[in-house]
Amino acid sequence: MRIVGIIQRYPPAVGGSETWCQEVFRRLATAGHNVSILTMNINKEEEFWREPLDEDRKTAFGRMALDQGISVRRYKRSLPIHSVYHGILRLFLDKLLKIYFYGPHSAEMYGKMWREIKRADIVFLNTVPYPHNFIAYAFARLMKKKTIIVPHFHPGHPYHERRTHYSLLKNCDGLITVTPFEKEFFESKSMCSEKIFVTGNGINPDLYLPVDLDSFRENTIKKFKIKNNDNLVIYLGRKMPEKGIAFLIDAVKSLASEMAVKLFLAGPSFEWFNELYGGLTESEKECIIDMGLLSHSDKVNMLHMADLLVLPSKFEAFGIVFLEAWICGTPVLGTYEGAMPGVVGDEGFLCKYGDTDDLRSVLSLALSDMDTLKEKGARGREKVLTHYTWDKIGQKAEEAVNRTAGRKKIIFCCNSYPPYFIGGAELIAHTQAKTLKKLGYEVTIFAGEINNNRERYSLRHDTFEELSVTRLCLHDRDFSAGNFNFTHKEVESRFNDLLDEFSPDIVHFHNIVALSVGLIQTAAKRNIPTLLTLHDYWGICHKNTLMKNESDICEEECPCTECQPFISGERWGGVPSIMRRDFIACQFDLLDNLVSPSKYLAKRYVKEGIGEGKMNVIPYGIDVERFSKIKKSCGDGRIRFSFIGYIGRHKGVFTILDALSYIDNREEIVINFFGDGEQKEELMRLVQTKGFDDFVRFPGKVDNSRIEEVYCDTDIMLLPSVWPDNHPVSIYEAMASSIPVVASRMGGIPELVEEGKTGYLFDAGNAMALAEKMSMFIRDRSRIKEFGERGFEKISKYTIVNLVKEVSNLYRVDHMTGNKPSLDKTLILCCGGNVSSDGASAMELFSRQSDMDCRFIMADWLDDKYVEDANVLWVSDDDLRPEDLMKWLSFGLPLLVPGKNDALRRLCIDGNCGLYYGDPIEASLCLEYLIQNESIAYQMGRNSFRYFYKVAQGQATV
Amino acid sequence: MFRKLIFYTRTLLSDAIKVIKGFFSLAGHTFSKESIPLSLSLFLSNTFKTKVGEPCSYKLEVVNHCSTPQWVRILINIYRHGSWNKGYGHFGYFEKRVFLQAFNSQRVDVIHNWEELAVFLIDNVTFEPDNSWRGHIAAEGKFTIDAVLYDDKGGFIEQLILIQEIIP
Repeated sequence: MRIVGIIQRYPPAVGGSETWCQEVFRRLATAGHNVSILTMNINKEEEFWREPLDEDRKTAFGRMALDQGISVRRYKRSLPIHSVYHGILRLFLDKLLKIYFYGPHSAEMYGKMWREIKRADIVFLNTVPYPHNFIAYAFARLMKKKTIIVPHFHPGHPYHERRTHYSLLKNCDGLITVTPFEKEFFESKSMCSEKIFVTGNGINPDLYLPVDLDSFRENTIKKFKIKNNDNLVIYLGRKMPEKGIAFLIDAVKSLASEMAVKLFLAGPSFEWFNELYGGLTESEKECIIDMGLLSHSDKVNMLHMADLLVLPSKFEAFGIVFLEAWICGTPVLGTYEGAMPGVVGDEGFLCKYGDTDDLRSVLSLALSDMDTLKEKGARGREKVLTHYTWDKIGQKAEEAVNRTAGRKKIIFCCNSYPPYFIGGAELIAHTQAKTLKKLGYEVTIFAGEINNNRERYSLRHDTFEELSVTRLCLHDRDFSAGNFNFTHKEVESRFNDLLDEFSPDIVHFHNIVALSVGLIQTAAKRNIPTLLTLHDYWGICHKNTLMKNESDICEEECPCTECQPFISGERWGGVPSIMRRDFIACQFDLLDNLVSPSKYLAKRYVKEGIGEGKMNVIPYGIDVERFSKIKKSCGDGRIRFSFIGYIGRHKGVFTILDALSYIDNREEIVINFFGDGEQKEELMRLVQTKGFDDFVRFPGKVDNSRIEEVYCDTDIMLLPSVWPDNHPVSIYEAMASSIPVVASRMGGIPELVEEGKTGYLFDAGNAMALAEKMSMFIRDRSRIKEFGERGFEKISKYTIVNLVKEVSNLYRVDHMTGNKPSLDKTLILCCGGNVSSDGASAMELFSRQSDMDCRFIMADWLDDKYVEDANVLWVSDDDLRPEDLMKWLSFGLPLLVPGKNDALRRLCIDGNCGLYYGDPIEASLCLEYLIQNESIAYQMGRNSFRYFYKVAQGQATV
Repeated sequence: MFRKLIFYTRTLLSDAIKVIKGFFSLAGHTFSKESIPLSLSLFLSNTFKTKVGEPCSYKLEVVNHCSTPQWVRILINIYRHGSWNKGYGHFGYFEKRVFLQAFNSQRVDVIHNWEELAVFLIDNVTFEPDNSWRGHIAAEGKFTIDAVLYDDKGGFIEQLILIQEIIP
């Protein structure tokens, strides 16, 4: 979904709410949300109201930044107003209206904001009391957008405690608090607890590892004369009165007479503190030490050294220093005030604010038992790792966003979509889409549509059964298996536009050959969770069917060399088929989940090295209610066997004809071929020739909306496929209509049809066996009802709603905790328009001889984001011009070039960018060398990047 | 009394002008669409005070928001603070042409020790500036460091400014 976050400033500007916003929004982007931030070009808090800007500033911000997938737009802060602010505005706004509205303001941000909010699904407001929240909220309400706010509220603070703020918080659709205390506080102000989410605050544990701790410890001991038995207590934070420092100092002064203790005070000082500290005696200063401001690494080392962190404040909204101490294994001491008791829990100590005696006794108790201290420190560390890392906070914030938004957005992708083409896969996609819509999802369809008369890849939008469909015009050649039907950059570009516009939470792919398999990377590079439902073998076989010829099924791995060793198309020539398989496999690597309706299909893909670990077997499901209502017509007393589907050779339609010759009492049967297909005419001719025309009929194709009529006139369904059919939809429909099925023992069919219970199975192509199974029904007609009822009972469990819910459970993908799929195999990118015969031989040789798990992919097919992940850039086209190589050099990959191309060889030698080869054996060896010697390959990659710049600068030629 | 009156009148007038300008500016922004294909998103130095001979590093981030890769030019221009006349206050400049992948943010580091010419660091590869000039001004006192982003044809895109002080 598209989230627009609005905040007063954004890191690297330093601030608690700013850091929370950045860390959480980064994780929302990682989870696949389209996140943009609107903020101001302000670094320090003083710049909110001051004019001109800092003289000694070290940081300047521009208009636009990209931060780990977040687009950050920084607007110019408007110049602050002084006299009117003090005189009039304060009187009206502050005194009368109780609005804290002084700034910072940005006319530019307010002016531009409405366009961004218009495109958003949810508006994420940050931090009271800043006025941008009111402006953004007003726009969001006007445009009927959902709003969620994380106020970072300080109860009791005069700038926070305003009725307008409470009104804003009450009216937002979601409210995020960082502590349960804050939530309880808002509940006490009559805010709906249902919409309040507690996320907590977080830290990044990797940033709290000690740096050269031994030498730091040695120096610190020496500098501050620390003795072995000294108990080390540290205070971290601003040295202000409300932080309870005066009480802490008094408590330590008193405690020093009882035990050896040293208090280290670190953080920014103010005049009040300087006076207080200046009043201490020299001996007191030996055990109460002002460390001033510490660098991050010194702070971390001090926390690792200390025995206890003390923060005796009057109020803390959260107390991030507790997390910092815990992650270093140091226990903490806070007060009973504000959110502290909830945060500290059993992993620390608490005292009364402002009570020196109580603080002293708690300090004494804590420091006198080192074992308990250590245990509390260790438990605190565990607590941080379990609850307070940014990944955890991000997950909770995402849940809050999702629940506030109230629905998820899905794009369904398939190469064709009803009503213009209806096959099993399209029907399933449509049924699932409709069901998800009923379940509350927002669904849109991106589908192909064959029309050779329209402009290729042009788009049109329509609505089918209340679902919005974007149809992309494809031509016949886009579907051609002998062509490049698996990669079309133009389609990926159109899809990218749709992702921009719709900002889905999930992309669910079905059959996508002819569109482009690269659609997967288009979604994956935006971190959008993806799922693909398999319907056939297109991912591992260019024919989709695994049929080598009319009768042989392909059982071996990577055998495409037999059927189609090379692919050629409009832009590429002589590309070995293995590259098709590698490209598809690499795209499947980027999917979060795969769904196969049958175990058979799932196993076959896994056998080919695709989808292991993320394959889920979930049957398609069927609208049982629709088919259960069918009332059978009586017919003329003959048994009606029906074939329903595409009349093609792979469907085994001729087996039916052959079987009829073996059936004795043919006068008792009728055969219906419902459907169309390239073998229909031949089949009709054979029916005539064999004299079967009095009982074999061809009623033609029946639209799915009238499919009940087919089952109404059917007693037994025949499905004699000679290809390993997956989970034919017609079997689901027949069983839901209480019709027994006679089908071949192929693919996933036996998972649906139970021999002798819901139908009969026979060996594919065995006409005599089919005739025998058909005759069993002819001989005993009672089996039709009996088997039909059993079939209905079985399929009743496969209701579409149940199975779609099962699929939708897979939509809950967690990209935040490192589960994001990636390309983890060695990637060899090929560039050029052709693969030379030497190149193809080298590829074959390398694949055969090397035990490395590599993938060969044309660089042009891959998205730039993934090109960077490649190991080698191989010029597999002998005739590639060096200038065509330039674009790829910018990625800094080591090169492998054909030695017979003089210019490329020279480039390789001059720039020391890679290796060149003379023949396929050398090429294969070079590949192996570059993959095995990572540091050399890296250096060559750097050289090629340097060479790229040299050429651009005119210091080298190509 | 008269002086105070002048001060308050002037301040009120200045605020009134700011408010009026703000409203015009708000109206302008409300009705204008924006497109930011390229941006110099960040410019920061590791220190405010530095010494001659100590390597001082500047970090720049350039964003390409286009769907195609782009070449841009980054100019680091150094003036004595408060003095903008070349020949008088101009300390020197360094320029580098930088390649940006589509929809990407490119980090560029510049290392300058105020003695010799600067070097650019892009993706861990060190580059000399494509163009540079160094005047005769002594490296002492405050300096304004401009980072300017130009498109490949030399068209101005964005400028960010830092201030640095060279101490003895």
